[in-house]
This record gives sequence, C-alpha cells and structure tokens, in this order.
Amino acid sequence: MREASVRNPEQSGWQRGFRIGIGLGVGTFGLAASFGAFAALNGVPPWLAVLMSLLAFSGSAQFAFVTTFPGGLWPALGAASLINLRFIPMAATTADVLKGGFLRRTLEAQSVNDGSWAAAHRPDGTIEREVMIGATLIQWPAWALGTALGAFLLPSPETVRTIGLDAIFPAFFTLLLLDMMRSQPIYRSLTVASICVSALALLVVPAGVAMLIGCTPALLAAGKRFADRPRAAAETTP
Amino acid sequence: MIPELDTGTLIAGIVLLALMNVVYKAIGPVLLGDRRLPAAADRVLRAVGQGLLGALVIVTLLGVGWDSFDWTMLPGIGGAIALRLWAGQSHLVCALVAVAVTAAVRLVA
Repeated sequence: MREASVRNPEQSGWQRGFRIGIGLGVGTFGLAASFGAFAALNGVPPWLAVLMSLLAFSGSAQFAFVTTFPGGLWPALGAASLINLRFIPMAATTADVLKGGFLRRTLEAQSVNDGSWAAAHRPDGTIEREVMIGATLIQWPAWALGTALGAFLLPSPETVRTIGLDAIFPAFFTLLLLDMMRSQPIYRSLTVASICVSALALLVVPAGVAMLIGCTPALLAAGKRFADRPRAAAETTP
Repeated sequence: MIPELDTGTLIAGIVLLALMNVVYKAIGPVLLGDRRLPAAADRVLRAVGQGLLGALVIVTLLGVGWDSFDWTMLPGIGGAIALRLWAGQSHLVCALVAVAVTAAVRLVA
C-alpha cells in the first residue's frame, strides 16, 4: 500500500531514474567538489582531475588513487582496483535486465554505480534497468562538474559538511536497505551478518574490500542453506 | 605545499583506471548475456545484493578505520527512516529531510 504511494505508476522507469538521479546528484556534486579540491591539493592538475572523473566516475577509487599515487602508479592502481572489485558482483546482478549485444551491454553496464544500482532495486530484489541508467545519466555530469568546481575553486570540505550534504548517501542507502529487508525478510539475518562483518573489516582494510568481505556471509549461507529451497520460499513477501 | 606529480604517468594511470572500471562492470553482464540464471544462483545473487547494500550502508557511515563516523548524521537518518515507515514519503523527500536535520543538528551541536 505504502509502496504504491511512493512508486507513482504513471511515472516511467526513466522518469523515476532521472528524479532519483537529481536527488543523488546533489550529494554527488558535493562529494565531487571535495574530490576536486582534494586532488588539486595533492598535485593533480585541475584539468586531469576532471578528466579522471569523466573517465573513471568512481568516487572511492579516485580518492584512493590520488592518495596512493605518490607511492607509484602500480600501488595506486592496485588500491583502486581492490576498492572497485565490488562492481563485479554488483554488475552481475543486473545481467538479465541489460539489453543488446556485447557493445551495448558493456555500455549499459557502465551505469552501475553505488547510488544508481541501489536505487534500481525493486523491493523484491530485481533490478529496474531504466531507473539505474537514468539515475547515472544525471549523476555522471554532476560528478564531473562538481570535480571541476572543487579543483578550480578549492572549496573547503567543511562547507559540504556544514550544509549536511555528506548525509545524503548514508540516508539514501539506508532507506533502500530498509525497503529491501521488509520485502525479502528471508535474507535479514544474512544482511545483518554482512553489516557486522563489513564493520569489523573496515578496521583493517579499504572500504571496497570491506564491502566484498561483507557479502561473503550472504554468499556462503545462501549457497548452503537456500540452494535446495523452492524459489517461492525465497520470494516470500511480508 | 602542493606536490608535483608526473603528468604523463598520471594520464596513463587515469586511462588504466577507467579501463579497469569498464572491464569490472561489463564482465558479468557480457559473460552471462540475457540468460536467466538458475533459480539457486538467482537466490544467491539476491542474497549477495542485499548483503552488499548492507555493507554499503555501513561503509558510508563508518569509513575506513571508522574514522568517518559522525553521530550528527544519526538523527537525520533516523528521521528519514521514520518518514519512510510511517508517512510513506519518497526516498528523495526522506533523504533531503536527513540532510536538513543533519545540518540543523550540526548548527546547534
């Protein structure tokens, strides 16, 4: 009932994606401004910081790359690649909704980022392709423009914090998780285990690696406990 | 003092970083194609998806070494959850309320 009031059936997936993208884009812009300033202060020419955001479009990996680059190119790439390994399983969950052949699927898969991927999840766990691509189409230019603003004007990260923009991603992800846990209660205990394992892993490894480690309880238990259960049991809704 | 970095190496690194991202994101969808996964694999991916989302929440809240944990975000996130649960508001409205409450808490804290 409530879900119906939130998901307007008259809005297409693209419209919902663009709308969500605007909300996420505000946070993305603030974070990108922080990255631009951070990169410039660490010796990256502003135009290269913008180029990095246009080509890589990956916040945490870009921060890691710039942080570790003074130690050498390969350590920097190693750190960034570990952080972004999470995109392999995340993108795999979208495989059955993407369209076209090799090139088009490769292109559409680039719309997988944390915010868009999370936003595109229906409460039953399936992915809405148009929402994911639409949200990314708004966030990508916001990320590049924010980087340009930060790299050329060097605003203080404290400004972003003062207006509360850093809260938008944790809030948004929490809301999506809430919806998913209500819709797929069978995975609740696994998700709580993932949260606990990630929290502990964060004490010793980078964020992207902590996420990967965090999904292992779900992977192991799902493989063992749910493999032989009927599909209907897994799709039980409250 | 801003350090000087080698521009050529930086450009090479940026291109390699971008290529790595393209491969990471494309490998699953390209290899799987539009085939429906077997039911068991589909359930595993759903469980992993929910687990990854839970991990994403905690990573954005705590940060590496828990250095990013900031209690001033909690009232805003709590308010957003309450709005979602009891008023059925959209994600966008709830997230913007979280931002506003967080800013207000920081103003008075």
